[in-house]
Amino acid sequence: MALLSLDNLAMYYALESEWVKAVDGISLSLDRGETVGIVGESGCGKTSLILSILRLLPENARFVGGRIVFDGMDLLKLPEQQMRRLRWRRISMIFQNAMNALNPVFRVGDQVAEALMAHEELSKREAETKVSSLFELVGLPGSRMNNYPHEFSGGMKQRAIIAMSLVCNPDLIIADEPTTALDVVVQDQVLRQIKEMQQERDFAMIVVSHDMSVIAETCEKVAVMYSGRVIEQGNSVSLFHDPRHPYTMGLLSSFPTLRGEKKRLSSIEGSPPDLSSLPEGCLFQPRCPYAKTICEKRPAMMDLGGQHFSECHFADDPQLRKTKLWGR
Amino acid sequence: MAASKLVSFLRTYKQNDMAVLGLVILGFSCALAVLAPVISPYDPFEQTNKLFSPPNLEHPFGTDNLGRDVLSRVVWGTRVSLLFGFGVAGISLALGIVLGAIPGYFGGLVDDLFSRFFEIYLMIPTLVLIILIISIFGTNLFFIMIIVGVTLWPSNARITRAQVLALKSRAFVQASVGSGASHLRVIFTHILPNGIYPVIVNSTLQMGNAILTEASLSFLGLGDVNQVSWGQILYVAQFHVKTAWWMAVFSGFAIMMLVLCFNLVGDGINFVMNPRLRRRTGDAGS
Amino acid sequence: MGEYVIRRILEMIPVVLIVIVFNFTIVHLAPGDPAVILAGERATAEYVEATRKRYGLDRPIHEQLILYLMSLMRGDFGDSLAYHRPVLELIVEKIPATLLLVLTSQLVSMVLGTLIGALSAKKYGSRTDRLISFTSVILYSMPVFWFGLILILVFGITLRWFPIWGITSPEMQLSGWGQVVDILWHLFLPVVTLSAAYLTPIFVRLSRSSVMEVMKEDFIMAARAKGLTENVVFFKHALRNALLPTVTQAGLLLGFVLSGALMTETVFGWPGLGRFMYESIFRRDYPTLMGLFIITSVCVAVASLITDIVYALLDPRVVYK
Repeated sequence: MALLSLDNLAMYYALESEWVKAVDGISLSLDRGETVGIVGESGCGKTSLILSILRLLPENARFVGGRIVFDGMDLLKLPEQQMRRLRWRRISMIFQNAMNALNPVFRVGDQVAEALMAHEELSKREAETKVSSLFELVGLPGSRMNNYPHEFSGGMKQRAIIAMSLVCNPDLIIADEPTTALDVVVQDQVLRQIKEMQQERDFAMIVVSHDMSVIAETCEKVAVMYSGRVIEQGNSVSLFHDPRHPYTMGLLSSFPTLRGEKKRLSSIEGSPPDLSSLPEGCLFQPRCPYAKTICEKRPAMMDLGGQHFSECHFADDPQLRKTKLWGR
Repeated sequence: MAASKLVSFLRTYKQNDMAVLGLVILGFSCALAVLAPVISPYDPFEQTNKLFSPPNLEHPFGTDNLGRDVLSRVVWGTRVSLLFGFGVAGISLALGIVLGAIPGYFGGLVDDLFSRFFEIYLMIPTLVLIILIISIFGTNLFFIMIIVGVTLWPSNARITRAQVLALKSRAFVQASVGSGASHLRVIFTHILPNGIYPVIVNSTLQMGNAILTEASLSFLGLGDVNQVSWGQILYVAQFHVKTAWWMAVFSGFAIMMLVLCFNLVGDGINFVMNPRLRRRTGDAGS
Repeated sequence: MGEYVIRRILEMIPVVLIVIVFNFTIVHLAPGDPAVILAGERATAEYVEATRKRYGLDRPIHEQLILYLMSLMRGDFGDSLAYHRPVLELIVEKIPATLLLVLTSQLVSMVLGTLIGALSAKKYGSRTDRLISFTSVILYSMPVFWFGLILILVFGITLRWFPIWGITSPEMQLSGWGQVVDILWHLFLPVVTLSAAYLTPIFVRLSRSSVMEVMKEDFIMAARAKGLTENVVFFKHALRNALLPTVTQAGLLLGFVLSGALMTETVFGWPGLGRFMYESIFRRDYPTLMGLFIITSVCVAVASLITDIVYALLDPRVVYK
């Protein structure tokens, strides 16, 4: 049985006179120990999706359909008290902006210990010892526990966040843009750290990023999000080598590779649709260089075999795969 | 162009009930002030021999220590309060805009001086200063108005300076500078019209403050005794609290209402200008 | 930190100097003979001449200024025309009463205001929130002394629950704890006045907007993600951060608080600096008024320094080199 499965999940934000359809029918599943990546432009709903899983949404968020099943439990039906016990202990997070995820007026070590003591019966002393060894594990000197967040560098803060996410030994860690705020060299170290920890502790992971290379390095499965929907998903090898959706192709060609042929970078022109007024037809049609008249109708999710799905009328069209849609 | 801006401003303004209430009270007060000679049942200076009568049908607010009708005095007092409020705010606004735009625009030494000046200003208890000046030089209403206005301009200047600083690097301002417009022109036609709103809000609030200051000064015996002002009524009232509560109660209530409406209107303008304040629930994430 | 304190004290000196020079200037700019101004309108001719000699008012201007400065440094602020005693001595005598009133009111206002504002923020948009905001703005719009008069009318005169004048009831001849209780009994209405009609609304408003800002921060969401209860998130994580602007604002309000204290002491006959100022205005006691101006400026400056120190202790990000 999958550890986590999203079943046609729909979550909208209620604004003054309209709905913002941030998550509009998403289905995804994750096994124990597996790593799934969610990739997409900013504004596509990735953050809303992961906040939905932990039920950390703002007041105007409404679940309008679907289910979230974690280890056999329907999370949407769970009373808040139980949800709270689940948070961090079974599902934790690595935050996008470590700088802001730490409260500036408390010491870093105390904040990590706080997460531990909220879920386990420990004395302060015991908690501190655990936190200290965890710090060492992620490459931070244990003595740094007593520092304040502003005394840490960016990379150190990120490591502290990682340590914090591990402190209760969760089954699932959701990493939201874990390396975006870091410079390239540190990015690599941090990613490697995460992978190491995962091998040691065997947790499942959801990695959310707009950076394809991060996803490629860490994930076995990938889901490409656009405008509140997953428009393509599959295992990362096949998705990267054989993308079946113009948007995925566009994303892939807009990131440089150090190796491989030199090619011109392209960008996807235009901008994503307004989540409060989505088009009737294919969401990507306005920006798609391959769009035809049939695209005025919403495409269905096409099963391409081998757990590879795509929501494009031409997903299995060999013509699409041969055309060079992006780049000049 | 300006008319349509005003219309859309008012439409948003209407959404806030408190702000509308404030505007209504303000309108009512202005009407009272203008119509005072017509509405007021008695002459505010007319002394009768009915000293200290409690509120009754003839004198709904009672009479004071010289037999004057308190209701009439309160109605006429609206004029002084409004005059004082607008006058002080006007002086503070004019001085504040000019003396704030200059440091903001030119920067450098002038700006450093301004910052230093402002720090010092913050440390000086302005009411004590005003008291000292007025007790030495006299209690004429216009003089008081000028002095109070002069003690209030730094806060407007600070806001103006911040606005000018923020706006002067914007593209449309740079364009104007680049096209050879004089500094004065750039400041007055481009920067100020766009940055004026926080200052307007502040000025509105200062009107309320000014009225409270006039009341306080009068209460302390430093008001203009020749004027029929609410503060003056309160000044006399304090010596007769036990015997004539109506002298103090109605005049103070009037002050509260007028200051309240300036505060509500100021908040109302802020409400329109600050879209963030209008969202009742959280923003949508991404 | 020690260096910072010294630096700040040095920065206060220009302020005090400006106030002193201002005092000096105003006496000379005023209509009339400075000696008469300083001796009082009711002074005899001999007293006026004695005053002229004492302050060196027949000397050249620049000498006078230096004389003035030097006498201030000696602690000679002149003599009160009403009491015929040194101004500084009188001021020092009356400071404790004012401190008692101001510190109590400030403390009450900060605590109450912050909590009410936080509650308001928590229930953003609800009826409670709007009621609190409305009450707050009404209280803030009232003249503080008028509110005091109303309290006197209702609770002092009509209901007779509280005394309406002074700091003690000398006719009761109390001592020890009895006296303490008596003082507190007298303190009650003035504190309610200064607090409700002047200070609390400011803190309510500030706390409310501050808490609302903090609640939007990422670390609040992180705290929730850790599985902490809403109460812990609010009281531990949010409030601690929201307090910082409150402390800063408290510092900026000091000149303002003094004005409020002036009016309150006048209404209640509270024997502090405020009441002293009122009497001096009444009697046109210029030496006292000028002395008060200097001392109150110094008080505001000192209090602002203390506020900055407290802030540094609360916010670990602040490093005063």
